[in-house]
This record gives sequence, C-alpha cells and structure tokens, in this order.
Amino acid sequence: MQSTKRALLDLGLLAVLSTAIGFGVNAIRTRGAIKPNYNYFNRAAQAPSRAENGVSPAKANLPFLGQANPPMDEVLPVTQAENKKHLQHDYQEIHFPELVKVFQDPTTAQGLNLFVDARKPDLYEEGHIPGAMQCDPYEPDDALSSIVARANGVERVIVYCGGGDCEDSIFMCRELVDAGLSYDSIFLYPGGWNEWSTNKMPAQAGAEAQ
Amino acid sequence: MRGSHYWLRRLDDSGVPLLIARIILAGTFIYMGSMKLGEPFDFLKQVRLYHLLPETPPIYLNATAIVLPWMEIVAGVALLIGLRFRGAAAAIALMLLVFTPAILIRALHIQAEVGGSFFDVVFDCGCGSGPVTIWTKLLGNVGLLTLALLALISRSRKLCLSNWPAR
Repeated sequence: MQSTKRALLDLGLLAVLSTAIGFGVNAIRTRGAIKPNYNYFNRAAQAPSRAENGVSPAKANLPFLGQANPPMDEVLPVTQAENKKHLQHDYQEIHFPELVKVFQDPTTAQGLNLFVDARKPDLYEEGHIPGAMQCDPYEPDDALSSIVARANGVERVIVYCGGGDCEDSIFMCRELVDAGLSYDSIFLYPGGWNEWSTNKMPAQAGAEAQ
Repeated sequence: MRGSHYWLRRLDDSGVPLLIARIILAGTFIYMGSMKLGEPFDFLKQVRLYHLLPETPPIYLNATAIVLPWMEIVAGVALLIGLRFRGAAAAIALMLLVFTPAILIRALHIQAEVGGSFFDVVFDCGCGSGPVTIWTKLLGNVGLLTLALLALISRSRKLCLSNWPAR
C-alpha cells in the first residue's frame, strides 16, 4: 500500500516535471515550436469557409481546370468515407491531366501560375515541381509572406504536398486564405508529389532560390 | 521443499531482472522521445490521427504533443539512474496501456479499408520509429509493458540511485 502510494506520488512528480520541461523547451525553441492554443487542424472557428466567405462555388477560369471537391460521402463507401473524413475541404481541386496542361501552358513560364510545395524542407530539396515555393503550413512564417507577395497578380496558386492521405496542402490552402488570398485563385492538387514524380514529370532539386 | 516463489524472490533480490528491464525501457523510451522531439509537428499529426483527444479546444492535442516526448525521456532517465523509477515505470505502463489498443484499433481500420492480411499492415504509429509493421510493434509493446510491470513490482533496489548510499 505504502509502495503504491509512493509510486503514484512519483508518477505525479514525473508528470509535473515533464510538463514544465516540455513547455519550457517549447517556449524557447526556434524551430518546431507548437503554439499551445493554435488549432492546426480544425480551423472552422478561425477561418470562414468558402460559403461563409461569400464566394461563389468553385469556377474554373480555363475550360480544362478542375472542379470543387465533391462531398466524400457521395463517392466513397461509408467506412472509407469515415476514414477519409479528414481529407474533406472546400477548395478547388486540380487533377493530374489538367495540371500537366497548366504546367505546359505558356502562362506558367510567364509566372502566372504559382506552385506551392507544402512538404517539409528536406523533402522539397530532394525534388519538387520546377519553380515551386516551399512553405510548411505548421510554421509558415517568412515563407508565407514571400508567397503572398509573389502571388499578387498570378492567376492560380496551386498547392500540393505528398499526395494520398497527406493533409498539409489543405492546411496550406487555409493559411493562404487567412493571409488574404482569394478562394478563387487557390487550387489544390490532391495527387501531390507522389503522383507527379511517379509520372516522371519534370522535377527540380535543391533549396529555393533566394 | 522450497517453492517457485522462493526462486523468483532470489532472482529478484539479485537485482539482475530489474536492471535489465530498466536498461531496455530507458534505452527505448529515451530514443523514442528524442525522435519525437526532432519532428514535433509530425508527432502532433500522428497523435491527432488516433482520435483520442478532441481537436477543439486545441490545447489538449498540442499539450500532449509538447509534453509526451519529455515524459518518455524523463521516465527513461529516471529508470536508467534508478531514481523514483517506480513512478517512471507506472508512467510508461500507462502510456503503453493507452496507445497499444489505439494502435491496434487504427491498424484494424486501415486493414478494413485497404484489405489484405493484418500482418501486412504498415504505418507510422507516431512512436518515433517511422513506418513499422504493426503486429511486430504491438508485440514489442506487450514486451515493454511486461518489463514496466516487472519494474513496478520488483522489490530490489540494487544499482539504484535512490538506494545511494547503500542501505
């Protein structure tokens, strides 16, 4: 009984010590600091949705461009829809065939289509869509300001991450909307880097040119 | 005639089983905690995928991602040096008791979605070791839980800082 009491006391002490060290280190670390009260995932309370923002349903400004994301429940069996719930969003999607056309379109060479890579810097440096700017949605900081400045006047901002179950591109789109970009200019590429590289599309390696 | 309890007691008194358990647990949890600290947002994303905590208000998820890696490291160090190590073993047992069933449930969901054998299910469980074959992870966790329980019930205090100077 005495030893159980002692173990529980030690457990409490350990929890307090870990909490103090955890929050202390988190407060002083320069990279990877988590903001305790910031909702990185469910941002409904912080950012108005497409409809709440008074924006019309997604409309392509070129005939070959994508459509708004259909509700997942309509296209997936129930269990699968449940597992994919976290991938629901209300941004315009652009899929591989359309993206290839956009990439090869002269407007891309003219700088009118901006690609944003929402993966981590090391993955970006290994390979990314040529001309893409990197920005981590969890630590956007200066990169987000550069993207917003660069996005001024572009026709489309195309955001991607790894593809598959990766949600970082969705969160990046939210950051861009929060930063003032219009819903209509943002396109989400769900296939992501996996699909792009699997199809042996042009790639660029190395860090972003400053 | 001496029963098996006598030999178990003798073995425990030697301090060897406890020492082995402490070293394995400490090594494992200090390593895994450090890996999580290196990529805090990856860990935050993984914790969220277990649906154990609400996303709103965000403090629950974020605080877990901030504190849990340090909990593992502090518990690992306490076990290694043998100071307040029963509390550390209790903390580790508690973490394993929460996350092992959660990993199992997530693996079953993934299996239901993808199909195929349960033994082929591979994903990053957020444990700090990257993508792993889940059945081996679950087996490993059961082994770690056994060691944590051993550290909790052992009466030995040999080679423990809490026993210094030797009493």
